[in-house]
Amino acid sequence: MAERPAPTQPVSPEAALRGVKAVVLGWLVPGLGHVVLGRPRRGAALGGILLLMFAVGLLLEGSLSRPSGGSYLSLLATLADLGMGPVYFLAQALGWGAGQVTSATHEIGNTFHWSAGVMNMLLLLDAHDVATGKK
Amino acid sequence: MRHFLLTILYAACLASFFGAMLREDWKSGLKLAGTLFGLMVGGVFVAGWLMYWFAP
Repeated sequence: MAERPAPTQPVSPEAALRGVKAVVLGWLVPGLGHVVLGRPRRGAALGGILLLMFAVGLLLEGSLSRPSGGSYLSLLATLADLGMGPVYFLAQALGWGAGQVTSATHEIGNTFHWSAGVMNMLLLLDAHDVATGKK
Repeated sequence: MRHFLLTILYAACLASFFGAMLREDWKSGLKLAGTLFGLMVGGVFVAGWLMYWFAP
């Protein structure tokens, strides 16, 4: 018979606030959530990997997604890109996300920047768990 | 060849990310990253070999 999972420990208001702060900062700058939680090297390494992947995605002529024509897939792709936070908006503003659909590496580029966004969402969950003592 | 190198880069990024995030100490993180990298690159070879049989 499977063991029952241990009861979840209640999270103090301070820890909950710390978790929210880490998530917000980690969304603003990938990896910053871990840095403010006292894990500077880990945060810098993880954030650096995500920024590298995002940059490679744009260099490979992937195009940053926007919702278009009520397409659910474009909405999902945009959500994935939004995981990178202001970096996504900055790249859009600077015109780096136009991409080139006819490029041989266009879809590979998309895979890189979409993955970076989704991985940053995972990193935010990790930062929240660290802040609230669940990890 | 360029596509293969990009696959290697992608696998390296993912493997090092998850290795650093999911493990607390560097040694086990490196071990996890190596395992993930090997699985992803190995998967590419297996998928490529399978697709070879269905090539037009």
